[in-house]
Amino acid sequence: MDLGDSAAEAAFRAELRDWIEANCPDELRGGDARDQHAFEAASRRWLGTLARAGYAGVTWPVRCGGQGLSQVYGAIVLEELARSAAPPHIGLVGLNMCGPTLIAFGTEEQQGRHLPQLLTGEEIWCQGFSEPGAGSDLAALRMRADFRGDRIVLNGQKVWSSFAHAADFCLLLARSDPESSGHRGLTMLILDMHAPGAEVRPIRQLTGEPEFNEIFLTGAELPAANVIGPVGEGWRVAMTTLLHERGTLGVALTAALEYNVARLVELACMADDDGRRAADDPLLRDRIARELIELAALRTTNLRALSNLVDSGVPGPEGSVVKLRWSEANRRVTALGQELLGVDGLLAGSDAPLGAFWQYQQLRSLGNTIEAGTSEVLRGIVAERVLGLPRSR
Amino acid sequence: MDFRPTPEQTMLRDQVRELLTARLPHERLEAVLASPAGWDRPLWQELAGLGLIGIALPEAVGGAGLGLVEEVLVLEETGAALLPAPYLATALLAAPLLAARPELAQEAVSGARTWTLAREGDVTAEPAAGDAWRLRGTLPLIPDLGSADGVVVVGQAAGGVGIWALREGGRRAVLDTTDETRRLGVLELDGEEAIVLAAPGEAGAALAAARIRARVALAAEALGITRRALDLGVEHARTRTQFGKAIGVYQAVAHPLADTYADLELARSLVWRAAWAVDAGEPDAGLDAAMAKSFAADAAVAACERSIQVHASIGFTWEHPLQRLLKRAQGIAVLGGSGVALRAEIAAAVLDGAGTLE
Ligand SMILES: Cc1cc2nc3c(=O)[nH]c(=O)nc-3n(C[C@H](O)[C@H](O)[C@H](O)COP(=O)(O)OP(=O)(O)OC[C@H]3O[C@@H](n4cnc5c(N)ncnc54)[C@H](O)[C@@H]3O)c2cc1C
Repeated sequence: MDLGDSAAEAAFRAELRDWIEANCPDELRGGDARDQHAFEAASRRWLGTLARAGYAGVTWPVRCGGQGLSQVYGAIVLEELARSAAPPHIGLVGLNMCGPTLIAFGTEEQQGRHLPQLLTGEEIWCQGFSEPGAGSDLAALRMRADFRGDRIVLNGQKVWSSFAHAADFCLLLARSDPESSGHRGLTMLILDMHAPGAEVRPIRQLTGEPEFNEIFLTGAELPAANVIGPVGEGWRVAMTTLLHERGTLGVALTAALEYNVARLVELACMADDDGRRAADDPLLRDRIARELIELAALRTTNLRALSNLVDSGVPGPEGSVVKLRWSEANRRVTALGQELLGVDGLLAGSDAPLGAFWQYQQLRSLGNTIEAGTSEVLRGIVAERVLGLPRSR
Repeated sequence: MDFRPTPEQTMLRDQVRELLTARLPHERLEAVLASPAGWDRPLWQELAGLGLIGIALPEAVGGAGLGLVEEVLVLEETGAALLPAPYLATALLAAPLLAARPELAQEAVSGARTWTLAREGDVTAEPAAGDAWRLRGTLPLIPDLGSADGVVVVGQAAGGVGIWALREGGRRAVLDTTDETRRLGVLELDGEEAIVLAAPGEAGAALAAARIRARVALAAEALGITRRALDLGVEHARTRTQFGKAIGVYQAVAHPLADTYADLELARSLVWRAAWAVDAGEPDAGLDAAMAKSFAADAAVAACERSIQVHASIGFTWEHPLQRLLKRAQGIAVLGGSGVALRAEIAAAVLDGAGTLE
């Protein structure tokens, strides 16, 4: 058991930290509420900068444009980026979910065509899984994919797709066998978002920002060569995507929580005009200490999960635990930040203190217990797949 | 970085788990607790025979020269098994202090004498002949006094705070305690002779290290309790049927058990991290120990409470092991610093500028 960075890991981390310090654009730092379009453009350029320096997809195989390094190095990159509050936001779906799915199931041609662009931010990807009738029960999805010769024709609706408004491609799960139901008869596809018949309508989130979208597909076509994995085996492919979403994302999420907790400590330690600090109130001290402990527990659990991942190559059930507890912790931490602001916490936009950081983070955190599997669904996964309790459905 | 137990560490844990499961079925535990001695000396001899008392002690005193990482793997098992013997008190609290007197440490490692540590009291010491000092005063609420032969005593002398080894004797009263697997007692000293382990004024570092070790050790036992309470709850949820179905089908039953699993995994991370930090001499090891103890103790109590609720009335009986697990967990929660006190220490380290987040 050894928790410390090895000499090589420590050197890699130090070099990366300096590099981020020197190269990260200011408009990406801080995670405040900001002009969404400018932010997305900057985020895309940042991905390119990361890729040129060799810091995007470090765990990907070399033939896929990566560095072929172990998951530990991937975690170091995610941690350091989140600590500087400059995650490659808009590229996260592509880097953490679509890329690994292509690496696991894509043809050589698909990998060569998409992975390098995905790394540099030249291609932004979104995930098209959820539908109006298929949320937690993803297998209820109805998006039709009809094979006509070497073409596939799509009809149906996707919803809640993050960054679809900015995306060039979509990892799309659709029903290729119209007679089928449930997990069978699904196929995973690569959809060009610029294809005729694909329409994206942004949905304004409760934060005020339109980060997720509806996707309407009416007769949109794609070549049959865009199938990922075997036809009819889309469920198996999708489960790999979700494992990566819940697994590797844990490190990024926890690092983001670490950033929020550090800001909370900073806020609590700020003296008011009478020289008083929130950090001197015993009840608040206890609440903050609890979050410091939870954060340390999540960080260390990620390290354990990583050690296992290096062995097996597949994220384990720890991912569900980290996602569950992280999302709840982030809600508490951001709510506490906003609470410390008092009535100032009611101010929004440019009238708000600290760039509306706490207002935005608190509202955004309400999505954390829903996206990538609701907390109820994650508890169900733990109960059934880890503890072996009988299925509730 | 590689944060997994090595094959040797896993073997050690499995060996202890198998032994304690075989030796301490619930009826045997109840019989031991009802016996006049109230604890399991034959099992103690067996643990000593396997070299478990001295795992983390230097080879010079008969130990295995391993570390706290190995100890927490063993302590998870002594917690899960509700071991009615002073393993934590002897091996983790007393023995490292006894190592100042190799012959005393050797005797402890051999299993010939059990020990505990008494650090809260009003004992005064004055020199007698040679290495011997005379101790006077009262030490209340000493953990495991019911099963300890010797007591390591912290007291005050002209030169400051010191540490002494009292091999036997003193007026002892073992108290009736909620957790009968770890009985508390009062020790009155009226001029008994004890051997000095740390001279007055020179005990500070040893006592600070002992406090950190105690917290990590208690947290590791809490981990075992959490695991056992969860296993019992899951087993019951799978086998008990109501309304024609196994009750684990109902999410109101299943989800609290999933929460216990999440607690268990997070607690395990904190305990292993703290043990590693102590062994590696990390400067923040004390903070890690406080975090581990605060989290793991709360988790253990909550795990028992949830499991009792899943069991309903059968879990509310004296015969059921859950009542023993709950009481041991409640004891762990207050020994070595309550959660509130530990979190106050953590807050002071971080909010008052004395420590770092990383
Ligand atoms: C910010 C954000 C970003 C998102 N991004 C994407 C994206 O990029 N791509 C994408 O495809 N989707 C995305 N989603 C959608 C998300 O995955 C779904 O919203 C989620 O899976 C839940 O589905 P639902 O909203 O239909 O809720 P429902 O499934 O209808 O759930 C409603 C409630 O019922 C509970 N429930 C449902 N089933 C059970 C059960 N079996 N046991 C117990 N409780 C149950 C749920 O926990 C929830 O509380 C995003 C969501 C958010 C909030």
